[in-house]
Amino acid sequence: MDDDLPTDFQVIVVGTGMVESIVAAACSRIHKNVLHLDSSDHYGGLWASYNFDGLQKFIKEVNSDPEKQVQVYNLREQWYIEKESPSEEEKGEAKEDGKTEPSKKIWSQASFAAEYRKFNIDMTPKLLFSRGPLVELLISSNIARYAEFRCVTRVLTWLDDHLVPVPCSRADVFATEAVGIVEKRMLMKMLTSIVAYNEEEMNNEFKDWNDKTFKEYLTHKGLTPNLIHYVLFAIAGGTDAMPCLEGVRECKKFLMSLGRYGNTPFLWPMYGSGELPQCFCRLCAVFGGVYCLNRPIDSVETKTVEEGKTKVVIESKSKTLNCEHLVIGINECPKDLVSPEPAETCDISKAVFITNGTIMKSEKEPLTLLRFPPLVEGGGAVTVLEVGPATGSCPKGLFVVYFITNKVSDAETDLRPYADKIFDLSGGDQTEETDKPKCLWSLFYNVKDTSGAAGSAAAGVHVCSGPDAGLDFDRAVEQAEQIFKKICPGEEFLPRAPDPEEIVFEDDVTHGPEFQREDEDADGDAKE
Amino acid sequence: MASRKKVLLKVIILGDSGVGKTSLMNQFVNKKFSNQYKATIGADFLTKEVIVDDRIVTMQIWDTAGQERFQSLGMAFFRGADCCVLVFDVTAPNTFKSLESWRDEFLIQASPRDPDNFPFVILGNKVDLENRGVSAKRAQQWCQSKNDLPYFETSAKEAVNVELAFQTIARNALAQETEAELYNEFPDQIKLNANDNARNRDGDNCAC
Repeated sequence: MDDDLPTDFQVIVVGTGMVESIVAAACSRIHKNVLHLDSSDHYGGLWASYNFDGLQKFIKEVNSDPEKQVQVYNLREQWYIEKESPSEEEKGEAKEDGKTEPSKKIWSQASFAAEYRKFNIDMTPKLLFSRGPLVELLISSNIARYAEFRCVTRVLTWLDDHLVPVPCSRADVFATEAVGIVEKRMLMKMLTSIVAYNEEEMNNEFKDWNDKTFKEYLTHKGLTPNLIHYVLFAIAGGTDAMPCLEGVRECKKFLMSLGRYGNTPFLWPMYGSGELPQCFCRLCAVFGGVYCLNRPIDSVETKTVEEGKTKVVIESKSKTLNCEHLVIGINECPKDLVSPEPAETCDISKAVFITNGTIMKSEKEPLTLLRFPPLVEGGGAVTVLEVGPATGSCPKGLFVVYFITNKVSDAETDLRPYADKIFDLSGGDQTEETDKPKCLWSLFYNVKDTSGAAGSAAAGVHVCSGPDAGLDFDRAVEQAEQIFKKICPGEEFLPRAPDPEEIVFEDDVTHGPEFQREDEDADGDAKE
Repeated sequence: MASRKKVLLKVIILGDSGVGKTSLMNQFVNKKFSNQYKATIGADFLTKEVIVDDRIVTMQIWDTAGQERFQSLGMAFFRGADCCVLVFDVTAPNTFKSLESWRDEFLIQASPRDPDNFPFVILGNKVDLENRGVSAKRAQQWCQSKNDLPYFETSAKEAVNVELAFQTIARNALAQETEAELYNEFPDQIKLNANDNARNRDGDNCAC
């Protein structure tokens, strides 16, 4: 069946990571003829979500063939629970006793395996700022119709050896008891002024702060140590060394995204971040893009044809594919085509934990962003995301918790001290009432940072970066737009796709469906 | 159920390329048929309001957008489906043989809560053509062997049985959706749209 694959395209995209998928959608949207390939049998590359079985396969693949997944290393998986569930007899007894049975489910490795499809575990978990570039792009391009989201319900930080909620909105600030009335006024005044600045005013206001830290600025503003902690670590996501202007920008981004969808500025994609590349791929396909997973490429060659035009020739499964532009994920790209190599940056330490409860009880199922300040000298801040069953990430009764930080030594050394603060990592009786949730399973790993802008050694070849350690998708969106502008100068980046109702079908259309633009859809498909 | 809130049913149509998935959707929703064969371009999903047992429901029918051609449908396509329509071409036995693997693919990728009772509807399309390759009996036998799946012989071109088939699809999808609602699997998802009208009731509009 693969033999049916057409061979000549304007654009061929290799890899289905976030950047590649956005570029594919953008090119197809303006009617470029696009082929999109991936060497594996699923979408997303390093941006994918896996169910529990898929994740086990991924772990095996990395361990058995480190050459194939060179970006992932130091992988360490650990179970904290028994292989099999408690014997049937015990269960029987519980039932006879009456209705004491469903107190707390006792998980085993076997029960994880039985419910493996209910897990969606992200390799690159990220949040969207409610008014950030990705949300705006999803709306303006109409790709939002392929995705659903949930609001992050709370932002927490680690202060005085405790988890504490960070007041986000004005209502939060006034409602919180953790901050005194004078402090509240001080905080509001500062936050209001940050939001009000436009870029020029900001540069003006902070011109003397260029070489100073954000912490120095906050101290200068007379904020109390608690407030400095909230603003610096939880809102700006920084460290003591964060430059002032960067801190101000991060704060502004946070504040500007408040109040659009929920109590915090953040959204989480249903079923995980791995859904998002697929949404862009769908749009690409709807506009005629051809999709072929399980299609590795063997070689890439560029040829100069007349008029200074380049042709890129790709060999794949003994078939020759031709295109004018090749867009390729850095991990799939032959080394000799990457030039200059992206600057050596700090690799990423990551961990995933599956627990039997939330890190901090709440009335409704929480969706949490926790930002740890560095707990050791020279370490980085640690970002933690806790997602529950309502996000489609795991079966009822469990939570999936992601840890992300910049690598210092290795993932486990970097992150275990933080995990110890909020989980019970000792295994043992799951029904035991503890103040910390029990960790049932964990995975530590390091990922090479391939997020630096990579150049290409050949005309017609565009190299896409891998995932970065940042909280959001902004860099991926930005890079995709840059690549698109190189391929299609002067063209609009992902103009709004028509709603299905706007497509007028005619008999014997020869020029493709016509799009009739009507009023902005006002029927509000909010599914609240 | 007491509440009569707006119901949205997600229906996905699967089957080999060229069996007429897009044409069936178009015939049902737009009452149009185009004879010219073209691999699916521009087809995304179509919506149509139908009445099922006095309830108004909106059917959202999702096309594969051609991603099935090289077996490249992703998980995201299958999420939250309330009914799956499997289509084959009665003149092309190969497309009939593929039904089994399409059904498996759906069950693996969509992982419905109760796979044995998930509503599938089978359509044998292109009955207007002369050169039949799959008999009605053979198709019915297969459907019976799969827990008695409803089977319709359709022609998207001549609008044969299309309305009837989609009525069954809607009814079975509604039964599935009602059950899913009881379990209330994923309440309160947010759809993004330009009007910002998904704003949370207690959300704080002003940044500070």
